[in-house]
Amino acid sequence: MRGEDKHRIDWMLIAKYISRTISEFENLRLQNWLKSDWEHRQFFEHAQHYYSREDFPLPDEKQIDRNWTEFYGRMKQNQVRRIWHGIGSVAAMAILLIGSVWMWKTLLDDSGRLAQQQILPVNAQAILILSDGSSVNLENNGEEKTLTDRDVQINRQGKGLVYHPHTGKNADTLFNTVQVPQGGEYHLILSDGTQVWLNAQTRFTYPVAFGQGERKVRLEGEAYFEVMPGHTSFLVETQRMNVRVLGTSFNVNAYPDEKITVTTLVSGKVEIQAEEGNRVLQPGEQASRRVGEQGDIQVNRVNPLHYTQWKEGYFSFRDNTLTDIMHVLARWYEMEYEFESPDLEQICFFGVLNRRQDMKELLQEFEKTGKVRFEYKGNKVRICAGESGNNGTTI
Amino acid sequence: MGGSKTAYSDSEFEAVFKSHYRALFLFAYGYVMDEMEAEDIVSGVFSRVWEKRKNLPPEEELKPYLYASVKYACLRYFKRLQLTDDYRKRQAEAFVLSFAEEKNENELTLLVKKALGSLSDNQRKIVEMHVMKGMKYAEISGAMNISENTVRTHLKRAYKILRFYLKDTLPSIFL
Repeated sequence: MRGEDKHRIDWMLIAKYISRTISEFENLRLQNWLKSDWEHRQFFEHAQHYYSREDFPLPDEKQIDRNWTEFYGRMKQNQVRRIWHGIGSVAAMAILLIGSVWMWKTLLDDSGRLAQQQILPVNAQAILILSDGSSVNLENNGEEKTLTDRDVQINRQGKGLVYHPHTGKNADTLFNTVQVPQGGEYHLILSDGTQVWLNAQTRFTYPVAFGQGERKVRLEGEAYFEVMPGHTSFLVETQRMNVRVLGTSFNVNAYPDEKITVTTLVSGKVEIQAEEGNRVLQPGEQASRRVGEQGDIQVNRVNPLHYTQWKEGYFSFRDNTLTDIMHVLARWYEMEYEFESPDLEQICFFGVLNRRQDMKELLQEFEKTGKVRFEYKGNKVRICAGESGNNGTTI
Repeated sequence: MGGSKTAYSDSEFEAVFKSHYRALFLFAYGYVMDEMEAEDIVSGVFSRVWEKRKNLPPEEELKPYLYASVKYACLRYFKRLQLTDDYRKRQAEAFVLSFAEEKNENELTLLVKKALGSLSDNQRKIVEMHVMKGMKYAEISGAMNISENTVRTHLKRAYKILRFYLKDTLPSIFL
């Protein structure tokens, strides 16, 4: 075998491993292959999952419609991008996903009488913190209202705030912050026309108006950005990764409380800036970096759709462990959870779920797989083993 | 691609996308066994076709082209993973799962046909309804007038037979 091929193996080795007919020598070669690359191990896990599942992931009409809409949108954006390129500008679209360690409130009622009660998404209000540190409740009573910060006017419309270009002195040194609580969502139009959708438990800081220099905003949490083309670049700062938009239109999705920080580029171009160095992403690429891990940013190809579906009101789980899933749900529903046994934490699920519904209905989809069962006590959820094994499955 | 060329309007392209998506996805999934990768492969193929939508062969000629493109994308993925498929087992599963038919009948397509032929009529009908038409257990149960549990059992057994067939037959044929 040639040098660069020393880790090359045939699929039959994996097939034999799965059917337990692999010889000692073959297994040694397989193990070497697995050791040589993280992607090899991932493939190996997928193969095992493939052979343990009883069904196949069949996209239904709705899923195909969604994929088409996403595909068509992306193709159209590429056309727009080319036009922008033609006139000497670059449009970009990116999603940023940021995380850190998550904490949840203990808001429990131990009385069993609440067992029948629904667990709905928390409908809490976002808060706007003005440049002088005072805060305003952003209740959504359907009315339009004008707020002011110094001499800058801010329009509140439904579930959103709109800022306007401002030529006044120092407007770019006045910072506002929107804090979105558990179960909340909020929409902003910044002074340059950039649109930002904020997900639950997110804190977003920005100048009331952008000045002549780089447009800089700060994100802790998750957000989707559509950045307006401008003379200056747009920078999203987060705890562990900065994203510089090299152009006009992008989509940022950032969580501050996960162990992993991820940026996904839908189309266009963004530059990821981290301690280890900078990296330009191509459309469909996702950059990730783990907390406390040395080394380069890891870049993988993904379907960006899965990382933006929250904006349309869906949870999208792709090969996620139950630990990660419960973590995401706790950001949305007011609940506390515990696992009956640690091996349940690693079960993987696939599926897209409506996040506007009662959590119990949503969890029923998981129960249908037979892998898990949920017991409720008030807002407390206990995750127990289902009747069948604990291999990953499609919801 | 030789022969006559057609320009596809957006809605014509949409129709092509929607009518072939499921089978192409299953083809890629049967090959690479990773849902996300399979979706990426299929949408990658469609985006390359989209670039050429003003100058494409008519739909009946486009179909084999789409399958071939997905197949090569899967092969490239295997190459990246430093993985070979010398006995074409993954390729065979891809064909079986998607019920793809190659224009030129070769050993492989004959084998796939034989594998499908090893199913009972009911099993084959159910697999087709489930895979090709994307019908749910409940819908199949209604159409066939059998219980959902029976549908489930039939499917499980059918896939077991297909897998068993492919697993044990292929190496000896291609060795």
